[in-house]
Amino acid sequence: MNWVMQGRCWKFGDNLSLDDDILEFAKVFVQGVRVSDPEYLKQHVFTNLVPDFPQRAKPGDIVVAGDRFGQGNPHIYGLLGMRGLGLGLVAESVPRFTYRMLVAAGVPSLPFCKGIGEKVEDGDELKVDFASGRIENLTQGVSAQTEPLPAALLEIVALGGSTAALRKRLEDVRSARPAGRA
Amino acid sequence: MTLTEKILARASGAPSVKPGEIVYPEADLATIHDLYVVEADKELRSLGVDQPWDPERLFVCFDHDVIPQTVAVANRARTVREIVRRWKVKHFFDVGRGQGHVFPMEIGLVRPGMCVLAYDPHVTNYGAIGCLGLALAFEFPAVLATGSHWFRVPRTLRIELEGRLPPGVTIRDATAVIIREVGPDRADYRIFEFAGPALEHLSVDARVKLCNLPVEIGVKSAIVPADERVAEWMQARNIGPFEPIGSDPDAEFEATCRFDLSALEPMMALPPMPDNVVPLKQVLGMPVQAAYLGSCAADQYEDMVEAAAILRGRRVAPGVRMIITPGSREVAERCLREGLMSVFTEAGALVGPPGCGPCAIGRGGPLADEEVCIATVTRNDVGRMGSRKAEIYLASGATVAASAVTGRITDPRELAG
Repeated sequence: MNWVMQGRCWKFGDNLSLDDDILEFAKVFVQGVRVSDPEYLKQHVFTNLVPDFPQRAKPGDIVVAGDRFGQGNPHIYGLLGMRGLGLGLVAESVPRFTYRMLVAAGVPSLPFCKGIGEKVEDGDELKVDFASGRIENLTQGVSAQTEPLPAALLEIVALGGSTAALRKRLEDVRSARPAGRA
Repeated sequence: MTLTEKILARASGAPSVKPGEIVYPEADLATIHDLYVVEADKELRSLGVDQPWDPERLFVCFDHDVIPQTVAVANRARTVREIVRRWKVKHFFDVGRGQGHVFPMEIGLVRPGMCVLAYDPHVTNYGAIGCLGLALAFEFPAVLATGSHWFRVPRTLRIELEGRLPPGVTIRDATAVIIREVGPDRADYRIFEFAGPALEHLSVDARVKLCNLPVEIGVKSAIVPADERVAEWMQARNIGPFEPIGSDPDAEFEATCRFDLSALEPMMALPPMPDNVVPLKQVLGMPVQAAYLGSCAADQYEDMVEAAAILRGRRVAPGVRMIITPGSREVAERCLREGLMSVFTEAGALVGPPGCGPCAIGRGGPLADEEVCIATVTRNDVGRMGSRKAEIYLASGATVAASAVTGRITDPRELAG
């Protein structure tokens, strides 16, 4: 997997909520059933903050958020939508459960990048290496360094998230056992 | 080891565990609710799994969409029942039985010392009787397929409570203070273990409040070691004895936070975050159009008693609608036996079926644009109870009832006695 992404910075503030700012929870339901397909969810990501966000965001773009990105009830749908759009995330801080969900959703993330808000403006061109934790602001000519995700979690992101990782775990278990046994 | 570490060690088949370690505890019980079943089945089938790992240890409860409002939702409910049959779920509870984070304790399905893995975050309620509830949300298919999933053993904060609540101040107010004071930075991925002399005076219903709210600031779980109070509570329900376990005397806690309950006053959480907690006196007088008593944060017998004490002989103010949902059939039946139901209906409140009520994105009574609601629910995010343009103020059952009666946010102590 190529861990370097380059694209536009979408800068947001603190306390972005999972159920309204990132993706309005009511939009997750289609015919009364929740949908977890990133291709569907991507059309509703951040639309309560930037109404035409899904049309304007391009794969490789980076969301830069403040403290406590993704607070609220642990609904993953907005994060799956972010993956659908091919976005990366750099945040000042992320609640631990949301950190886990970012990995589960397969979103390349740098979740604890203190001070990043002072180094980027909305619309800047950023180059981010999610494996090394290096962030370059190509517009302003400044950079930042932060702790990347641990290797074991990068591996889950590279597979595409927790469902793909579970598929691999089940296949590994099945192939390790003789045929006919669970 | 702490109580949580002991439960995780036992469930993981390890002699001991330490904070930071990755463990795979096996679920003594795995719980999911009606909104998630279709999604879970789809995920499992995409993984080539037809049957959950152990239907004997699987719990499915219909508490979110209790009365379907559209044909699409009714169709989904039918599919849920088909899936439950196909999965051969042993512990299936259809609509009207209760809220899934409440009644399993009342019937002895959830017991002290158990490790329950859940889809839904408010499983922390089970900590009220010394059971460890851990939520996994989107990653829950791993539990359905294998019975387990990875967890990093959390560190534990000891929350020590002393003193007795003054009259008119409730455990909900106390818990609101606790989450405000500890705050999301210190609480993130920690266990709250409650301790201290005040526990002696706190019932199981009160302990559910202690274990419910902290999840909103990011705790992994919350737990109260089961003691005599729990033993009495279980005995009264004829659900048998249990083996008491608690933290070792030399258990390592990250820190101890102390709270004196006798120094507290009624509190309120302002929209849009449940930890925006202020003293109620700062908000008094604001007009409300809706009042709701219920959700897994406040739908037990004592919550009903708390509200009934205010509502008795009074009426809900004109221009206000009040909805009440008891947490279980047991709670509803006891309210009926003891005359609380007639207090509610004579006051003009609507009593809904046991379940999550409007806390589940407005189901069974959504808020309209520009409305202000006072509620006991778990969260007050934008849109949590219906319109994105409505506002939700969180408070105790007593404050909700007092405000419903006056039509304005009201200190319940003004109406007491």
